[in-house]
This record gives sequence, C-alpha cells and structure tokens, in this order.
Amino acid sequence: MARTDVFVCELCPKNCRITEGHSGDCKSRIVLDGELRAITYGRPCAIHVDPVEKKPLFHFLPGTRILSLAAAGCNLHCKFCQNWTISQVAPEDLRSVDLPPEKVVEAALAQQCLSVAYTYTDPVIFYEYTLETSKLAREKRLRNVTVTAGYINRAPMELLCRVTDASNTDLKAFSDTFYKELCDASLKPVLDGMVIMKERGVWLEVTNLVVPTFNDDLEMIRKMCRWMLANLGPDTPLHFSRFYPMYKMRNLPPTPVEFLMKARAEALEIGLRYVYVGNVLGTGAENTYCPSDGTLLIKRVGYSIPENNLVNGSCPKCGLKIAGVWGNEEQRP
Amino acid sequence: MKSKDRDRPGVAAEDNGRRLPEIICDSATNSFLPALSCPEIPGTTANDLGAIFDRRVFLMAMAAAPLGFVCRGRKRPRVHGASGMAMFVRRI
Repeated sequence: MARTDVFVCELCPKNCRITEGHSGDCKSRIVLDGELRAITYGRPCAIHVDPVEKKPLFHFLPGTRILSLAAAGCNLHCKFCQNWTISQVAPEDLRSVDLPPEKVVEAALAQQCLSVAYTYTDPVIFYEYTLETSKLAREKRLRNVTVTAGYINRAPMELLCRVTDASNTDLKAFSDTFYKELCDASLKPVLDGMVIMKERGVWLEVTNLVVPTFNDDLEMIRKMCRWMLANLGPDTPLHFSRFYPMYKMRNLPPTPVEFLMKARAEALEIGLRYVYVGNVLGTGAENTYCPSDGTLLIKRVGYSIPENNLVNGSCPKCGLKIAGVWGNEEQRP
Repeated sequence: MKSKDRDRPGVAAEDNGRRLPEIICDSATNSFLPALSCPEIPGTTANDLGAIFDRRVFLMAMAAAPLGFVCRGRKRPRVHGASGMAMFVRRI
C-alpha cells in the first residue's frame, strides 16, 4: 500500500482525512502501517465505580452502581471541558491500563455493578471498544450507558444503539454558533443523533450545561425545550447543569443558581415533565416529582437517594406510570 | 464528593483536576518525554509545548535521559492487536 493513501474516518461528522503516521482530530484514530487504527481499543485511561446518578441518569436504575470508563481523546474541543486533562490529550501522552472488553465485564460483575458506562471523555472516539464491550456486557445481563456529546454519523450511531440501553447526551446549546465557536462541532448531528436514539428505544436523558454569557439565554433555552418536546417527547428528562470555571474558561464565574432555577421553571412551563438542576446541592431540584399530582417520588441528596417512593415505577398516590427504567419493569413513553 | 464533580473521574475530582507534569519513558527511543499537557497553566493546549514547558521537568529529563532528550515527536502508539482496527473507514 502506498504511504500516500488517504483514509477518511466516517465515524463522526468531521470525516477527517488521515494519512500514514497521522491521527484524526480526536487524536485516537491513527493510520499505522497502511491501516486506520483505534489506538485506545482496550486501553482505558480512567475506570471507576460510580453511582448512576453521577452520569447523570435519574430515571435509569436509581441507586445502582455503574462501572465507568474512558479512553483518552475527544472529537470535540469544548473550551469549558471539565475532563480536559484526559479528553484534550493524545492517548500516548496519558497513562492507560490494558483492559480488554472481557476484563471490563468481569470487573463490572465483580464490583456488583448493574451497568457499564462509556463516559468521561466520549465513547464516540473509543467506538470499537465501546461496541465490543457492550456486546459482551449484554451477554452477561449488564446494561450499557453512553455519556456523550452525540457528535457521530448516522450509521455508527444506529449500530451503537443496538447495544445501548441508556444515554445521557449533552445538548450544549441550541445554537450552531455556540457549537462552532466553543466546541469545534455543529448542532445538527447532535439533534439527529438524539432522535435516532429515541427511535431505537434507548432511554435518553439530556444535559444542558449553562455557561454564563454564552448560553444563559432564556429565549434559546425555550427554543431548546420546545424542540425537545416536539422531537423527544415530554418524558425525556432534562438536566440543567451548573458551570464551574474550567480549562480555557476560568475567567467566567459559576452559573448563578437563580438562573438555573428560572430555566427549570421555563422548561416545566413549556411541557417537559422531568427537569432537574445539577452540580448544585440543596435546591430540591434534583428530586423527581409526579408530573400529575406533585408527589415526591425520588429524593436525592448529592448522589445518594434517601427516599424512593415509587411503587412498581408508578406514583404511590395517583398511580401514574413514571417514564424510565426502574428495574425489571421498563416504562418508555 | 463535591457538588461540581458530576461525571468526572474519581481521582481527578479529588485533586480538583490538577495534575502535575509527568515524565514518560519513550520505549521506542529509550529517552524521556515531558507529558504534553499541563493543567497548572490555564488556556494551554496539548500542542502548546513551548508554552507549557516546565524548566524543572526539562532539567529532570535531561538528567535522566541517557541517550539525549527528545523534546518533539511522539511515542509510537501501542496497538491492541488486530482488534484495534477502526470501523467506518473509507480509503481514497
């Protein structure tokens, strides 16, 4: 094979053109010896047992443990990335461990986890590792969770949906300009990806990080909520997350809690039934309430659950079925 | 656990995401490279080698490297056998 061959990586919408010895924009897919290699396959740089609420997933097996792993690199370059020490570096510049898919599954079972999360950076850039591990995890009755920016092409997204049970997807802003200027990406593929997940039966929750002066715009938030209502349905949980100064945006203050509460009120007013405020303690906006009669269903404090009043996934007072994956019984809108 | 640690790896959460520069052995050349990122200096990227270079690391690396110091270039990535082949690829 000629060393001048050009490879097009069609995994994500960047469609990087890569030549021998070079990597794509994500730094983790490199042409070596005439083949495009996913060099982080089986080599995570972070692996932890987390509560599932940390992803955050609030309507998916609450109170359970989830084995969470990441490989180095990312196909986005968000200037506010909180995990940038692992997402914005090349894999060879970071320590990683040798952990093939079967070992991930073994570790999850040994740690009494009910699911495996592909997270912290973005499973899109360790796609093959995620896919193979997910297949093996399913065989052992483990569930698979992606925590992702959802910046991926249609075909790989559809394939991944076959083995994914739940996802928390970042909708970073309802603005293409925001995506272009702050994340080096674009909005449309993210929206398309979420619709695909919903159509394929993946339990979906959405996170919107509110960055002061960039996307703390109530009109933009209203548009985003209306889009969610129309395309993902009223039962898709939305998490407004508080920004803290990180990476290249340390000059900004944390998001005022009052604004997050205002955004939540707007989203509920528009018709979304489950809207949460995260990265903040003590607001009560991390609890799940019955959208019909307001009964407290799940009380959350940080990542712990002092109260879970659901009865077979339903409100104990009015009996309304609450959308989510609560255990053996799954209720999807 | 702090309130702002949503979906961050545990270790990074504990030390607030700050990580000191590290020395990495380059098995290909038997020399040493500084880690190409330094969270101690905000606003730098992994490629801003000049901007992030820490003189102390340089001196340590110089002392440790028997075959000379390599300040540019990368370690050859490790590939996990044939299973590390990328999917969704087109050659032109």
